[in-house]
Amino acid sequence: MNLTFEDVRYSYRRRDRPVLDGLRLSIPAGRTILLGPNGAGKSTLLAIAASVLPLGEGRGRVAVDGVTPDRRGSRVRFRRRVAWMPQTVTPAAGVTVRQQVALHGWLAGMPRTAAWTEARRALVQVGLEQLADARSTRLSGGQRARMGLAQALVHAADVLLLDEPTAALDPDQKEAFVSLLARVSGDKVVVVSSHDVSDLEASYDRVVVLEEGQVRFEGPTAAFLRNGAETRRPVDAYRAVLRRS
Amino acid sequence: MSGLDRWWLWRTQSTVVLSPVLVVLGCLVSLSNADYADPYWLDLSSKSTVSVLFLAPGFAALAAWDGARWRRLAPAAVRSWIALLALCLSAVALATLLTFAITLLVLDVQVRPAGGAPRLDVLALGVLVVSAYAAVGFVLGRYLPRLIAAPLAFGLVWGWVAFTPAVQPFWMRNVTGNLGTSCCALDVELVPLALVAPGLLAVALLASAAVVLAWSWRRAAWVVAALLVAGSLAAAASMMRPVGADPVQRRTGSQVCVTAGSRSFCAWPEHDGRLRRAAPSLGRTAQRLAATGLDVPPRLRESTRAPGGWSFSLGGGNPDQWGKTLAVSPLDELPPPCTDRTGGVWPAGENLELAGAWLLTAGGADEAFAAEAQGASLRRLRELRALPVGDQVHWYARAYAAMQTCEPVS
Repeated sequence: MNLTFEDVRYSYRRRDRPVLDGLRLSIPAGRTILLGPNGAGKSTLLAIAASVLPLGEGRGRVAVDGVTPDRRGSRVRFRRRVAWMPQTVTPAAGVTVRQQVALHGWLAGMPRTAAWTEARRALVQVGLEQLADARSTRLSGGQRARMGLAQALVHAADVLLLDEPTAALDPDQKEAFVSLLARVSGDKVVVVSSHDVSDLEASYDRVVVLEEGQVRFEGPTAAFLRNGAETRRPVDAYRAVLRRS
Repeated sequence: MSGLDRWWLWRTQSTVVLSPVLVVLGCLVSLSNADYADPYWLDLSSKSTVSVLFLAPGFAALAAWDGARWRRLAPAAVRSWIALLALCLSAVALATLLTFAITLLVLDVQVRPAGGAPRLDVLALGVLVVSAYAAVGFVLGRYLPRLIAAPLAFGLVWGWVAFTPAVQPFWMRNVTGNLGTSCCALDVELVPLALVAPGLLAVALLASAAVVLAWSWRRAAWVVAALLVAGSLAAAASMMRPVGADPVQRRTGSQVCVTAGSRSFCAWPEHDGRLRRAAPSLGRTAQRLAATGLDVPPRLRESTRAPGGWSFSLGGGNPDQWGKTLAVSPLDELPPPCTDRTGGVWPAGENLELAGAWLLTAGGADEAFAAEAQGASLRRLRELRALPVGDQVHWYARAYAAMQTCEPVS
């Protein structure tokens, strides 16, 4: 399974400098971390991969195993296979945590009954089952992040796109998240955008570094860490990649 | 899956969550309407549209709220916006049907209509119109922040259904779908176009909402939607313009008749029971009026004027009062239309109360009662009644003829 980007160009306004400029990337199954400084285009790339930001005519192509979101029919097939957790998880007014997660499943094309059942399973996975009947607006920042993760997990998509999922989590929750990621990834494509490079080798199979809309590094974690010379510290490797570009 | 869980998707819809409140509000409105309703299913069905249309702004605001929530929840959903609209409108339609059901039940208990059944075409129009207004709210929620979309949807629909009936031209009130303000006394029925015109506009609003939601990124979709609404509004206006203020026509169909004395009395089928109870009183009154020298025709109809203006009403009260309605019926259509041109000036109108009181006494009522009931001077009534019967009838004939005009009394 592959998530591919071909020649992707994207600007938020027509005259603005492109956020992504002719980007080519192929991400195989496994856990991939997307690194890069602020404004590098990480969130934009994930939003394009989730088909939240549509690529217009002549602005490249995104595909999962050749299925693109360009046309109505293939867009449905594409979206069934992709789940996206945005940077900010917005609780919906007037619904419970389980209802909100189930709504995401239903919106992703699951039958009503299955969405309700799977919402329960997803909440257990993220350790939020005890708050299933609480109003989603009552959740704390960390709990919202876990609800967002449950939303992404509910419809068992082949591609998981998680935009800074650990930013609001405490150290224990981060550890739990990493082990959860290891459990759910299997043969899925999991792409996590993050600034957190600690424990990189144990948590991710591959690393992609973006800067100014271009891919600066793409490869296995071990190859990425070699950029850090003798220290093999992730932060040194990251700095070295950016310096070289 | 337990019972309540089965309905989890519906329970996330604002319309469903708040429908008990709306249904209670609808019932309160229907209770206030019961006093003005005839025991006639067309009238009750139309009056119940008042309750439902009263709730339409609320449904539109809730749909806007839900539309805005879907926008935030579903930036890359597999379900289409049309599917989300359909879910929202099915909740609105169900809540509307529930409101109709309870409203009609309340009216049924209050008014006790005789026979027949609610008019399904009127109820279907109500559901269609409320759904169309909710669709407008949903589209607003799709594109605007919820704190703007919900009050805007409420205000727009409220303005359209509540204020339009108060302004001219009249066709505007007749395309809103609110039939209860002008329909339907027992002797009238809706003109067929009264259902077609608001129905057409509602269908156009629904189609426009669907077009905009399905192809929002194309400018042409907005143009098509605007043309659909403008075109249907123009068509609905052209249908309703010749109709005037009330989209009704004289009721056709057969009446049931009973004979009392030498005359037959006919009423609409809804009043069959009342007619049988009123017949002796009506027969006595007609006989006394004829004995006084008034020309009472051999066949009299409920609310349908015979030559000379004779008719009777079985709308409320008791059999004795129904008989009295026959006595004063020649005066029912006064003042004459010419008072519109003279700014209400109607010189002959000064005899209206006395004529009414005299007709009541001619029909057998007591003088004191007749004077009080009609607001006439008892002294003048006694003076008139002291004249020979031929002179009394002559006075009445002259007064009645004068009251048909706006000319000064000679």
